[in-house]
Amino acid sequence: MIGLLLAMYPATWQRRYAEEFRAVLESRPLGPFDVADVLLGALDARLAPRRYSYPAGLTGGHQMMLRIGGLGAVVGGILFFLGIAAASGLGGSDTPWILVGALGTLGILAGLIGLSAFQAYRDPKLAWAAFAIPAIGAFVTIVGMLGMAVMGDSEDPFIGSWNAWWIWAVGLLTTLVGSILFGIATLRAAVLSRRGAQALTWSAGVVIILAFSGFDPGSSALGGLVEGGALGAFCLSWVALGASALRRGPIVAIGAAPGAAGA
Amino acid sequence: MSEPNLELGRFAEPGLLILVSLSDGPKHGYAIMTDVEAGTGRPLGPGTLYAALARLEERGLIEALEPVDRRRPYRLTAIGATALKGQLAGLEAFARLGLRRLDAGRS
Repeated sequence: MIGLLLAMYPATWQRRYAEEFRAVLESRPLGPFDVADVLLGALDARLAPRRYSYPAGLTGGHQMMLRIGGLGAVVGGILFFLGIAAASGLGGSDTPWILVGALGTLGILAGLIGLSAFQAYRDPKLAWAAFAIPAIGAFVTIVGMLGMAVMGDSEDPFIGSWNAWWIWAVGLLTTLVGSILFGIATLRAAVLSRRGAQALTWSAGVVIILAFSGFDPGSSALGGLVEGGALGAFCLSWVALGASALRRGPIVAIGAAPGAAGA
Repeated sequence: MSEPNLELGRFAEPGLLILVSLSDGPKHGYAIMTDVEAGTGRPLGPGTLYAALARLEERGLIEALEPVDRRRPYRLTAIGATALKGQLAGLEAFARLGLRRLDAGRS
């Protein structure tokens, strides 16, 4: 993978930095955040390939990724809940709300990339699984949601022999399983909100148990409340994790005007 | 106060963190990365590290030394030390101003 990442950089950059950069990449296991960060670095190098005269502000760097991740988790958690709650509770056309849910899932996907930066390097397999499984799940969920938006209530196959609802359900289940791993990896990293990570792990687990227990949320008002509560807690956990990433903010504020104290 | 501007755009913060890391002696890339992470509690990605290193080197704020076993150490130049001092003094003044205003607002 390291060779592939290095190949993303322009040849001029590689001639100057490749050897030492490879040594840095080999120094510890690469997490999803590192890979995304290196890809952004390669894009940056390609945008200013000749003499490394990088103009200011061409790329976001790690700080921007963390902010996007935090913001993605906050907005994604809210939109996902709104989309699911409204689409399952409203009559008539669900399409706009399904699209809101798909946008929310996209936000959670962005959150996964950004927040994975905080996960422990000491357990790279867990970090990768905690990223890859929910990321794949989120992608499949989005495909299923788009399918439901296109196909409406039709049970006709959308991809292969699968109808859109089943694709969505499998995607959501994968996202939930992956979220449990993500919660555990976040707890082990001990950087972001512990309560958020615990809530993510437990709420995802409860939704999975409810789904497999044959529980019918439509059977009673209490049933709807239980499932809605678990799903709400799941979404709120993402919001809490995103907010705790955003709260960490910049450690050092740059650009303080000289002599500002005297102003 | 004359303060050299780092002019690193979005890489200003990683750039400053790298300069601070090098202020107690030369370090290679991985050592800078772990030093910054230990000091701030936040990750510094390798892509960001090298984008910032390239900018700092281009501006003459740091210089590369001979590599040791593939790892190339970097050290602060005189211009880099002056720039860092200016940035930190600006931040110190800004922090003092903020704390003064906070105290005044509470009283």
